[in-house]
Amino acid sequence: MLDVEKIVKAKAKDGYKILDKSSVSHELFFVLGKTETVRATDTAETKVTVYVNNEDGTLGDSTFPVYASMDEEALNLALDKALSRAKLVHNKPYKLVEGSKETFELPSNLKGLDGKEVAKQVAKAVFDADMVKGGSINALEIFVTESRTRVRLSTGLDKTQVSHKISIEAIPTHTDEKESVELYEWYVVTKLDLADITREISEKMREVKARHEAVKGTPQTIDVALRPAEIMELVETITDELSYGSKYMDANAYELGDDLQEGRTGDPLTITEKAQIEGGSDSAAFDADGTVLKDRVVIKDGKVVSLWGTSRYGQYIGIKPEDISGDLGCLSVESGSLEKLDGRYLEAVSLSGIQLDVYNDYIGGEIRLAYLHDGGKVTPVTGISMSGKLSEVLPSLRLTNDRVCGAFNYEGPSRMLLKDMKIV
Amino acid sequence: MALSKFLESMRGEMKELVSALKPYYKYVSVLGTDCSSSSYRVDRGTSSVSDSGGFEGECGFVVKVHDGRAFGEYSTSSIAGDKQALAKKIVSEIRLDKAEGAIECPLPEDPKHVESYVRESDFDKYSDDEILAFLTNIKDEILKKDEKIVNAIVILRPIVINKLFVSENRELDQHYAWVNGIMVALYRDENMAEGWETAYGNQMKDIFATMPKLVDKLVDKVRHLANAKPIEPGVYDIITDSSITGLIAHEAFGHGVEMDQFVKNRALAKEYVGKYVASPIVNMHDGASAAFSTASYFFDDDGVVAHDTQIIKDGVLVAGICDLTSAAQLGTAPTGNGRRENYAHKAYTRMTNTFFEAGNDKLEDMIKSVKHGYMLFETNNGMEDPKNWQIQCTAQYGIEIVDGKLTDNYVSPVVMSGFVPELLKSISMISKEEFKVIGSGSCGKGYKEWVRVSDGGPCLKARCKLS
Repeated sequence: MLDVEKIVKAKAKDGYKILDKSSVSHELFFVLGKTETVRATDTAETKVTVYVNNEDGTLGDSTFPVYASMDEEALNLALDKALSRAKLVHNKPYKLVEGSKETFELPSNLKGLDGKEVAKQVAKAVFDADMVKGGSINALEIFVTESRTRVRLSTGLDKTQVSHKISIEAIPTHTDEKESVELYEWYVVTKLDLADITREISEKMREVKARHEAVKGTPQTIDVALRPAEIMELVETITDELSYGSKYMDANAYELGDDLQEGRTGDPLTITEKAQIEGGSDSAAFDADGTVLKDRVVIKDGKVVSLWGTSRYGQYIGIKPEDISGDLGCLSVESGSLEKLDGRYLEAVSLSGIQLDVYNDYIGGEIRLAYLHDGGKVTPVTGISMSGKLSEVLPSLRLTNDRVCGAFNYEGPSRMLLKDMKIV
Repeated sequence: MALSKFLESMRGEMKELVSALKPYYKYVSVLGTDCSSSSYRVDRGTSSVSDSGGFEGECGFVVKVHDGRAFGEYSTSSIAGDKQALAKKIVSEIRLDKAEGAIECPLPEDPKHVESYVRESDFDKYSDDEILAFLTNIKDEILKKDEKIVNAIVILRPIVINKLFVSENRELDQHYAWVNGIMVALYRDENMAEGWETAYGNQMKDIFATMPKLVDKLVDKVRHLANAKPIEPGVYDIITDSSITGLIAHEAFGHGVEMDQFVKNRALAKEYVGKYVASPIVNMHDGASAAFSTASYFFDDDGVVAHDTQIIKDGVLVAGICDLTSAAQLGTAPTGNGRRENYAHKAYTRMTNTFFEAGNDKLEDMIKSVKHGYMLFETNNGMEDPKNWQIQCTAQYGIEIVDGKLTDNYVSPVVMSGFVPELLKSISMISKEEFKVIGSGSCGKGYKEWVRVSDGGPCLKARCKLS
């Protein structure tokens, strides 16, 4: 086994970073309820970044992978090449993150469990779901993964993090003699809760039955309620515009102080970039630069109050190193005032993917299944697309007053109501 | 150049591992990968040059076995050391108990085949500083065209693929390369806009020749995009550029003929083989050898040689594309479409180079034939729905056509949606001009499993819901 740090340290006199990632997984693949493939993985990769203080005061860097197959000669060749490359790069200097040696274990009850057995239990939990008459899971993939990330820097920082997750891709299907329809389910959890998995899949089976029964929607203007997956996509698109990197590169659509809800008629929108949320598979203690992550409120009552992001770009735009948030992976949205949704509205159950374009002020998407709520009556509808202007949607949006947490790395209200969306 | 020294040095060890596993399994293969992915990038304030990992830079091994019933796979970064011990570990890790309900399918075919494939590139002739200087010049050219262009990002991403496949009867290796060039302009006026152009090929000299010629086009486009309006949602006549034609081929129909979806009863196309699914003037292909582009490998990740599969012939669905595992279950022949994101991932049926054939119409006549509609340009994204044939394809922008003429009215973004056969059957004209199979794309399956793909084709005239 090569001592990568010893070899790198000997040559990279101006600084280095070593990022090790390894994972062990057990995976099961089912076709029409039967096991098609059993997989296991045991993989590791190291990325080394070397830094060079150039004579003109700039900082150069270059990164290269170190594979398990490399011997000392190969590593030295790659290291020399990276040092030469770093001298060609003349960037504004920035400080590498300082820190000590620490190990973090992210909360999960999967620690110490046999991944093979867990995968089997998860499969049983999925197939134990209430299939409803005509229902089936036509394809199922289960991944039980333990990941280990370690960052070492020439500053002496040495941080390790261990995390666990179960990822499930399921295809709930509903079939009768006339037709067969399906929905797509991608579900990631950090905790083994078999009853919860069965509950989640049972709900999807009811939804795919609804898609089977759905009628074609009609063109109209109507309020559309989003669920957590799409709420997360929406707020993530907005907060991506608020990163230090976007600001430095002049690619940001929003600036500090901008009011995204100018003329607000709906609930105030408050978004926090978070390091960890319960059940969030992207929860982390530190990022790839070794920065210890700090939660950051980026939008408060619709106004941009802070930016967030990585150490390098934070320093580039003048953030003090101790105030840098790090590369945060989870989002929290404050709940709103809606006790419950009522009246006439569409509840989007399955979208192809919400389409957002902040530059062109656009929000839309193809809706594969929605529930049309009209008073007490609920009608499943399909075959429609929605669209609207983001600048009109944000000031008028409503949020429910409940909380959900974990899935999609999101915590916040279970529904976001977008007013007056155009349906075609 | 030939196969990487590392994989060449592992040939014997891979054969040893196949032998060590043979007592346990009726079918055994080992795929070794040694693929490098570099990134050269400059923008207004920074530059970088690195070798990266990700889904393209990889070095490792994946073992695939069949026990007479189902399949097993084991991915590992290293196969060094005692092969008997490794074989025992693999057997233990992927054991399928007899009591477990499993598929039962015949063994994959393992025909005798030993071959080395090499496609030369010229990457070694270009030094790092030459490439960075080239990108810096382009960045400067873009920035000086208009003070409202606040940043320009120019990137080159060369990949070099080395793969060695060993089974009882096969020993195949391949070495080839590809490079994508991307240039992005960010424009800030009353509105912001982002535009991009791409160049691609297996020779760096072609990228060096092409990218500078795209600067004016990029600048003109980003100026127009800054003034683009949203489209009034509705159903319109559309003309597609090569990119949007490719998006339709790939997203709307290609995913639906991936035959691993047939095995899972996930594809409506399974019931349409031999039936009209498109206008009779439509012909569509996929295959690593069907066109020369980013997915033009010599054999797939299951050791099946590249094919050219005609999917739609004169409007009739004639064939799907298939990986080794699915072919064994369906009792058909694989078509060389088994692809992995990298050695740590399972092989699925994946598209390669997917495109429509040229037609008989002049683009000029096609535009003239539209009373009111849009010409759509540049893929933004798309999402498949192989079971229900709903589509969502997003074009970066459209230009309004009024009374048979392209106007100066840009709309952006434009989301195409609807029912796949309705869209394909509405195709009424296909251009005869030379077309592109655009080699700068990548594709996921569901929300994961990324691989490089190309798609394209001639301009199509169709009718579609836009929003």
